[in-house]
Amino acid sequence: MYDDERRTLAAAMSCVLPDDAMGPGATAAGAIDFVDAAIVHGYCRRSLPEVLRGLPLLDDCASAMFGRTFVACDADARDAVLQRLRDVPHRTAHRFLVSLVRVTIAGFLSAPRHGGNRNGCGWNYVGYVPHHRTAAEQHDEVAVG
Amino acid sequence: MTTSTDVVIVGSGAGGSALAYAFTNAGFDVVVLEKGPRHASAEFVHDEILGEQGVDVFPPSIDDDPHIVVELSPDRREPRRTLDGWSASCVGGGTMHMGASLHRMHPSDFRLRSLLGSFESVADWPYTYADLEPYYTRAEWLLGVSGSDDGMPMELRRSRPLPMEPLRSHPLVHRFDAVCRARSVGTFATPRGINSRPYDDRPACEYCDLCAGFGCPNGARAGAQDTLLRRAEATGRCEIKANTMVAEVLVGPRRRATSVRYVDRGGAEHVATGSVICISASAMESARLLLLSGAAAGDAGIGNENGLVGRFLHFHISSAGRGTFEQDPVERATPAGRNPFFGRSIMDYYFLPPAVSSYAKGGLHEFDMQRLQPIAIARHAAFSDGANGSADAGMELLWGAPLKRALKGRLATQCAVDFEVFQDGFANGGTYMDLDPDVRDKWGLPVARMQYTHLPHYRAAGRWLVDRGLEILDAMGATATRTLGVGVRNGYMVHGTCRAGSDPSTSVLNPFCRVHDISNLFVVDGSFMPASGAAPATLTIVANALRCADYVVDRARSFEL
Repeated sequence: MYDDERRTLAAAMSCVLPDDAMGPGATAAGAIDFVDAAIVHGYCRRSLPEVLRGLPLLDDCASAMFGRTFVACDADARDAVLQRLRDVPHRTAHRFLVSLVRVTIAGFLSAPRHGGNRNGCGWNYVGYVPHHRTAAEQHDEVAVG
Repeated sequence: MTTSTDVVIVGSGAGGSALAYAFTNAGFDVVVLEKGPRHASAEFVHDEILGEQGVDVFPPSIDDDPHIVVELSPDRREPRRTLDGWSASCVGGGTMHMGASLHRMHPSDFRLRSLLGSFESVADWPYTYADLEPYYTRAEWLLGVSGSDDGMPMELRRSRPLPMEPLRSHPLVHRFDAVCRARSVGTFATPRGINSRPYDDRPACEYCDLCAGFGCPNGARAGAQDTLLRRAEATGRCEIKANTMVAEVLVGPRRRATSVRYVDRGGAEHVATGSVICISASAMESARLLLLSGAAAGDAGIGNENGLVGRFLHFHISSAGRGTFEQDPVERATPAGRNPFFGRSIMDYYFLPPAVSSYAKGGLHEFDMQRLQPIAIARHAAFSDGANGSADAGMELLWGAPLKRALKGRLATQCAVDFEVFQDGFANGGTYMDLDPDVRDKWGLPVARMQYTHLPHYRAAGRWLVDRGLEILDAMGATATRTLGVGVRNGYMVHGTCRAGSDPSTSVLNPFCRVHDISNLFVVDGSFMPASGAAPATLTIVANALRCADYVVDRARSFEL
């Protein structure tokens, strides 16, 4: 991912799971850091390529609707862009959107050692406590920090 | 290099590992050739992301080692790659990630054609439930099955009780039991190959969230590596060679199998010779090996003189439903409240009432908690707990504040009871397997190709069976119920490719799974099954393997083999 792609994706993820009065979202959870790890390790191997391929749709759509990049839009405008992508009769747009939601959720709720769900804030938000950890998993968490 | 031993076993899943156990304990030396790797239990990390990525951990990669499916339906005829027909490719096979529902088949499953009449290509088994009963018992004690005969249909009561009491159940089970009692529906504890207390030098289950589909990190589940193969290796007479691909069975003079030719991970060729050769590579791969062995000699394949190898392929059929229940967040945080097991089965709908479908065979309902996998549950919630994630116009997809509310609601204050109905698949004229003329695996060998026809009966029966399950969940007070699947092919559970029977003109194997005209070649996995029954076949495959091994040992000791 280039820097501008990374910024666009981070903005889109915070649109999917905003940080708000209810609690932390994709930004606090560092969901974009999960994407970095996912690219390296091949996680989400069906949805992640769809997300990366479809990323230009966000800027295309934002500039058509608001005359600026997706990142330059405010929260309401970003939300309008996602709604537009949902409503157009366009399979690529739908696949992108579905995949974006799938990857964002993975970045929010996967084990913190994969880069997202920082300090378990996603798990805390939904009241999930990881139950069983083998010695190998605990060792891994120490190793990755 | 040539290895010489008493028995060569190709494959180390439910069938091959049971053979290895039985032969080594009878004093025979055994070499087990397993195509897949050997995983250490430390590799069985309970991590949703790794599990999701880890389809490679169990089934092989679809690029390296695919099957080909051709759906014989009007709207879908293009051949495509599939992993259907694979349950795993590793030491221990599918038992390493099984849900471990170790049901016995019902006595009627052995003679369905006699009882319910002719339907498609279904045939009676060449032996009866009574013949297998002692081996079921041995298998249950060897693997370590927890459960109880309470509430079990009379005809399935065991000659010896199970070695362990049932696993603990989620508190919702009390509502379930009350509802079923009020409706006079019989229920019993699902027999599980999971330790409810320490057994067989293995610890009790720790009730972690991820079970079926994942490896068991502490060995409480009866995966073959932790049970049958461990005992086989402890005799000092069992050598397991992982990462070895068997390419051919060689048949010598006087119709005896002499050896197998295999390739190791580095690509070097070897030969293993044995007095007895057993193929236990799961139904599609075992049949494929018989066909490949013939191709080398320019004939139709070993045991395939009548063109019957692959002919009676059939899969299990699955239907499923779900009920969502409100759960107090405090209870949800307790060990009881997050118990992953519901552990109830129903066999009252094993036969269908008249007019439901063209054949009166129903299925086995098994109820369990939806697994507490936050990512999977959250993704489901994002699709309004409705659509299945398909990208269709007008889809209901949540994001932003509505998604955050849905995640909190679904994960923090609700739980779900799922049920799966196991239904029979039936051999039929439009379903069979052979070798693909074009596609080859990473060893350069033709892969198995199946032609598949889905019978209307599967959906007709499935709809009725799902409705029975949903009724119970509704009566339990579910806030919402939904159908998850109706009569779909279960790609893991594959049978019938080398049908066993007494008549060599209509079957590939004799009643003890020996290839009819070859005195020392056996196929021992799900391949032999003339009918799938409606219970998952793992325990049956183990029990049948123990029975076949007894036959081989008896014959070998009297020099008849």
